Amino acid sequence: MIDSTWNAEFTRHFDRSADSMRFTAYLLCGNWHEAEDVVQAAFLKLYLAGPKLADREGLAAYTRKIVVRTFLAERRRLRWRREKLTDAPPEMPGGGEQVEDRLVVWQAMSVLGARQRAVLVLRFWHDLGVEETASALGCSTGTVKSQSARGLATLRQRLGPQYADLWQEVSRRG
Amino acid sequence: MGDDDLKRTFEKLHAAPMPVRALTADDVIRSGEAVRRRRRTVAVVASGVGTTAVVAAALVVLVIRPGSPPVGPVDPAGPSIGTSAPLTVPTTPEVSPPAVPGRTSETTPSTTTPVEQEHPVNTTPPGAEPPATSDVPVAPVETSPAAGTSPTTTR
Repeated sequence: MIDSTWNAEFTRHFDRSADSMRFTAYLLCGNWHEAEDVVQAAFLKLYLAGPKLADREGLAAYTRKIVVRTFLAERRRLRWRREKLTDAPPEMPGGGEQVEDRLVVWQAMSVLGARQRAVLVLRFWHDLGVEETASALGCSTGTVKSQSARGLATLRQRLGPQYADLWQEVSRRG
Repeated sequence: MGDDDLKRTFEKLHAAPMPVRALTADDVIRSGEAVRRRRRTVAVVASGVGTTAVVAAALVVLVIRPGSPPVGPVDPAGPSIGTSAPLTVPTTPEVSPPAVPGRTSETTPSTTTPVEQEHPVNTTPPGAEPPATSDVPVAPVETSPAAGTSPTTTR
């Protein structure tokens, strides 16, 4: 039975990569609630497309591509509906100082556009090259380079000396 | 901020405690099967509706159309009447060659010049016999229809 085989393979892949994809979605979205939604939608798309997939070897890269594109599509939809999702009131996980670090970084990251954020996450968290990032986002390599440079410049401008202090503090604790 | 700084920041964020994941593989599989069932149902219903629509349209075409009266009179074949432009008649008079005595205009091409203009009006008083003009048999002058002249004798 094809379905049972795929179900078993999907379960193994989910257990192996769900946390990584969830964190990627968190870096993209900036909050865990939206990250959960994006990951759920992405894995659902993967499950439905699974039986038709010819190459099951690159399942991790394919899942990452679905997550990023689902995030971009969601942002596009939210921009039209002018909604702003936030998880600030209900969710305040423990770990006091690290939460502050996260907030500082997210204040800077929130200024970036969705595509710039996706480029930075894919290049500096997943260590993808320019070509791989362009393939995942469905754009040209020139766009990846320009978005990456603009995103870093914006972060540098936003964080500046504040980020240097933050980084020293994070390094001392780490 | 450099590339390495951003990378290390991401690593530190990853090392921080995360909220518990509520999603499991079984949830996704259940949702996926529900979606597949729904898609299959929609496909079956849409296929049935489409088939019904095609059959209904075929019935309308095959059963109802032949019984209906003809829409209007059939136009006769051939060119239509009164739509072509009228023939134009050349009005420019053609100069005929000078008349040679003793010869008729049988050998000359058609002329449009009125004969009455070449020969003056007969001044013989009424009642007198006209003078003999020629012993040659009179032949009608070929004139073009545009001249509108009746056959007359010419010298």
